[in-house]
Amino acid sequence: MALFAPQLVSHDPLKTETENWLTPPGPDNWFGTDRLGRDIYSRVVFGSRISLSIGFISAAIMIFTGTLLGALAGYYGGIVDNLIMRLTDIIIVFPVLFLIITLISLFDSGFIHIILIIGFTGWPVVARLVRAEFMSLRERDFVQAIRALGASDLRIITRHILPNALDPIVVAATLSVPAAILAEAGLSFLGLGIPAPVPTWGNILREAHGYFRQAWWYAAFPGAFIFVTVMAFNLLGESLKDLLDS
Amino acid sequence: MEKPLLEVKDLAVNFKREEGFFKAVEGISFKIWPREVVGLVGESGSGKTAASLSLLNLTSSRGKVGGEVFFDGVNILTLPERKLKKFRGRQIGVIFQEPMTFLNPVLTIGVQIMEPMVEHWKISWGQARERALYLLSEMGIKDSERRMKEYPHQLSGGIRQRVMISMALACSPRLLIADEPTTALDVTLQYQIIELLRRIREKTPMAILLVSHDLEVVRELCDRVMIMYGGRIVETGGIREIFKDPLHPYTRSLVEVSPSFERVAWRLPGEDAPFSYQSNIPAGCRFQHRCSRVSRECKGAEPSLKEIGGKGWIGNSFSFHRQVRCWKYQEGALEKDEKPL
Repeated sequence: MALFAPQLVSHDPLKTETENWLTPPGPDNWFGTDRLGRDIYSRVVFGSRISLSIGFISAAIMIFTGTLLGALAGYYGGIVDNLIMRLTDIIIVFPVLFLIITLISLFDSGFIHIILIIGFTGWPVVARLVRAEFMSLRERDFVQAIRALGASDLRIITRHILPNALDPIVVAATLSVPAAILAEAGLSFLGLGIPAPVPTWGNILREAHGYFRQAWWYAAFPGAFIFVTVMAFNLLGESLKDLLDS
Repeated sequence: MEKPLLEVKDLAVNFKREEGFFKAVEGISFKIWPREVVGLVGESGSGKTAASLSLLNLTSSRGKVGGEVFFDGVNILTLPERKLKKFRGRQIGVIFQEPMTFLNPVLTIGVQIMEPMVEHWKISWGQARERALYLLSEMGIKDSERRMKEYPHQLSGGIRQRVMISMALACSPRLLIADEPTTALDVTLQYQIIELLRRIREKTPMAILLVSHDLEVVRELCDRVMIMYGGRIVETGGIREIFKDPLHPYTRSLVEVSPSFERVAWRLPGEDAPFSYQSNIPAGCRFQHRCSRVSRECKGAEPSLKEIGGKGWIGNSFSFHRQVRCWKYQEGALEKDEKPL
């Protein structure tokens, strides 16, 4: 849907038709129109592009950073482990929203910034998971065996331990995407996300705030999309977890 | 005369425990000459595995290794990790006990055999593949092309152990440390692997340090044997002498119950593993609690490793001394006792 957005929509998501503001859902505007007469269906479809790409890219950042730091901490232990884990502790104990709000007020709330900030606050969970996995794999016999045959640390980490730790990482990746989508929606709802008029699911919700009584469709449709998407990724993650555990 | 390939001086391995250090290996010294096969025998907990792995500083992070290990004249324990890696696998190969857990479950065995060659020799995967195929067929594995693409769980125990041996031999090391290479296998396979090791030993100039609790396996393969008890070497000697005329009471009990060596622990009074805590190690001889010939001096001070008799020979170039750590054979002790054991 996000890929074929231009083909799927019937209206320009940014075009305002003020005379048609807050029309209920009908044959012309499937999800109704918003306070400026923009087609909500078109906005939700185009919003999916932004929301999903923020979700995927920041999840990718979380996984990459988390795996890298978790692997280093778990494999080397000692001081490296201590430093990295204290850093993750610091980020984890910070109230995430507070941290994000602070960061966003320091920088701008552009697309890239949002992605970086969500990714930056999300990696510690992944790092802990990967660290635990590496710590147990590090002590496994086959790691000792290849070390005895002179393999370098880099080779041991990338070729021998990482493939064995892949299952939990894949699950974590699937579960990070909805977390990132929710984070973006939450930020946008608070007005800290991508600035208007660019449609994101959170942005539409924010605009709908205050119109719940007159126009239920204004908030219901983007809300439902967030709900369904997050739900779908969570279910996918859970079933992957069950599948890989068995 | 040739120089020894490996010379170990006063090797000690300490494991950090909550209540302090536990000395798993204390003051071990020995030499291994090129082409020689030496057995290191002892029961579980005697420190034999700790001793063999510490030669490459491979004990886990909690183990501290002391003493000196000269390989071809280089003290490898003082080398930085980066240089030590060049010895592991390339100069000294290691075979482990349990081939299932010592192979990586997610890589094909072909990759695992080729990897050390690519790492050490900086050759291409294609060249490494040629050699891996050759090694596998040398190991008596038919259909090696297909086997290369299989994962460890698809193989039987015997094949897995052959794969382990191929990995260890991949870079033609000059010393092979075989840590209980046959223990995890059933009896028929044990003999196949022993045969294989014997063939390898005849074909290559490689020296082998065979770590085992099974004196029979050691008798099949080794020229010389060192018996460990409680972290110490208690007796060394040529394989024939040890079997014909065991000196130390511990060796004697081992030889008497051989081939069913595992029953020794049953026959000997006292705990299974000699000493799991430092505080359990007695003053005097470490074997005193289980020794049938224990006398007063055994409880006083620990006997030293004493050279007995003349030199023994391996082939006609390497000489060694028969050694034993027991009060019965120390200076002057013979007169007090009516006869030696």
